[in-house]
Amino acid sequence: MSRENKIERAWNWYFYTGYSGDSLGALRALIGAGLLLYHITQFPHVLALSSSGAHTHYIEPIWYFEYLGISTHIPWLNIPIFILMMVATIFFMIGKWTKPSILVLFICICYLKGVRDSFAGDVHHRYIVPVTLLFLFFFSKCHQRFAVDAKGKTYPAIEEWEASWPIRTAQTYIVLYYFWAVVAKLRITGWEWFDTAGQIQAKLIERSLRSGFGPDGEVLRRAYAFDLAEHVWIVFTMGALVALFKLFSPLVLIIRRNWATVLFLLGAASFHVANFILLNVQFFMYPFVFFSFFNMAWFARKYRDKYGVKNPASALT
Amino acid sequence: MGHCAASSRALRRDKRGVTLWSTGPVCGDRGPAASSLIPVAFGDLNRLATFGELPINIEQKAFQVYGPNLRARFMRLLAGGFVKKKTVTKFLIGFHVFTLDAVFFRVDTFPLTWVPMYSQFHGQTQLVVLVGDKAKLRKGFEITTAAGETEFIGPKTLNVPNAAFRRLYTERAFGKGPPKHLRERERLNPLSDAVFNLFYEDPRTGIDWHSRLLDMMNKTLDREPGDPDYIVQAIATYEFTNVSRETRRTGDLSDLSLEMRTAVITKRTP
Repeated sequence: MSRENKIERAWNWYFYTGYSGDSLGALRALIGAGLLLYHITQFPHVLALSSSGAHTHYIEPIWYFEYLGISTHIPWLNIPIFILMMVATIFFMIGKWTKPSILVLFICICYLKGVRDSFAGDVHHRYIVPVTLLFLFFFSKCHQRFAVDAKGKTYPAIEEWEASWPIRTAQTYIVLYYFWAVVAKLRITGWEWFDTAGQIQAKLIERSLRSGFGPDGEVLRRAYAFDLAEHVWIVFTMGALVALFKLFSPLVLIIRRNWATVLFLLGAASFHVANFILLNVQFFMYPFVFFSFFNMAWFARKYRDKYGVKNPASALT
Repeated sequence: MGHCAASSRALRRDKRGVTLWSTGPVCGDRGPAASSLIPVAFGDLNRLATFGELPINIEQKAFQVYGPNLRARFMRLLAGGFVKKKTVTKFLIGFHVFTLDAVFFRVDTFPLTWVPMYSQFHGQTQLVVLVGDKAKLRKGFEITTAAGETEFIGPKTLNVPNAAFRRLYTERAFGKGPPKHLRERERLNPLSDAVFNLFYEDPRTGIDWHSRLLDMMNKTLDREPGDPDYIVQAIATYEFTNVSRETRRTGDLSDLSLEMRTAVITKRTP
């Protein structure tokens, strides 16, 4: 076999095999459901601001606000935009006007995230992966299966390659998110990042002291994180496990076995939940993106069986 | 060939107020060889624009030529998604090249790209940690107005979330920028560094946070220079603790000494 053919075969195996139209449609619905909850966890502080309060001048607007000339916060606009975003997410989830919903959703996320990050200039990355998934869904045929859009329409069957590429690309992006993170840590800080007096211990101390000490000298909040920081070998072990998980995470893309997927997801989910409990990193709802790693065709089938939906393409009708 | 009136303007208007697209010399009668200056994609537009002052709206023409095609493509995407495997392959190559490039050049621009967070660690020898004080944060900056009065401005007055105010009070006030600036610039490879310097000043050193803070407060509260209540100074005080590497290695954090730090925020005089 020539080298070109080998590359082509590997490319086809990697991006164009493994999933059906049902997998893609059901994944869209589940990611939509996850996003609904995710949005709620991301903007409570922005929504709690007084609608009639001061129009804050941003100290460092996010780059697209700067290009668009948005330098001031309009507090009454947050709630309508949030409602619009939730409605667009529901439409995306049920597959009604799917593509326009993605566009609306994207604009709303950019706006609310821009507001949140422009007050102090800290840019958070919590929407990078969800927005990339939306981008991939936009170019896919996700609205043609398991969607209200498909009701009464006879779309041609979605071929395996058409359903697989968005899912495989999403998986690749999610995994590389972890992999590049460990590469950056090693390149910029080195092994010291994971050491006994390294970054994890430092973050445990920083985050637990954020609320300060009580009158009796006790740490007020997250005292357990402060206590954990004193157990240097446990912290070191946690760091080593994080490094191993991130370094080897790309294997899940190649080993297409359930045990590998489950192992990866357990690692990632514990990582995010621990980050939230110990360090208050607001990524705890993030594991909803891991639906991408399972073939969700069974979900579509079960749904259809349960609710007696006859048209295999449509759902919720 | 007739005389050409040189014009370097990209857009100009004729006597009837019709916008013309012109990137090269605009000629009175016939088209010159200016089309060679124009990218192929704009070839038709150039031909239309350089053949004298045509009594048609070039923008309308451009839409007639390109608009329906672009619109049709977009509508096809909305209706169906990619239909050809070749297109998908090109898309995937472009997508991954773009993502990898951004990682290499460390460009942190949501929603296009990201730079991994928490990669930097500056507490190797001495870890400086702020010790929270919610009451102090609620009270906010102690400000002095042009008239010499003092008052406190907190998150409620400025209408900013508490977490953002904490960053303003304990970081920007003490001259510390957001982590994004470090993420993008620290230990960059020389090529990325050179590219970055072409477009931006180094944000780690190029931003006067004190001026920005005062501007932010004055603009938010509609206070103009010359007003008696214009804010000329703000003070932030906060407790910090230093934890040495040796202390952290032993794991004994029972004896942390606290140190009060004060940031006096005034505008830098030019």
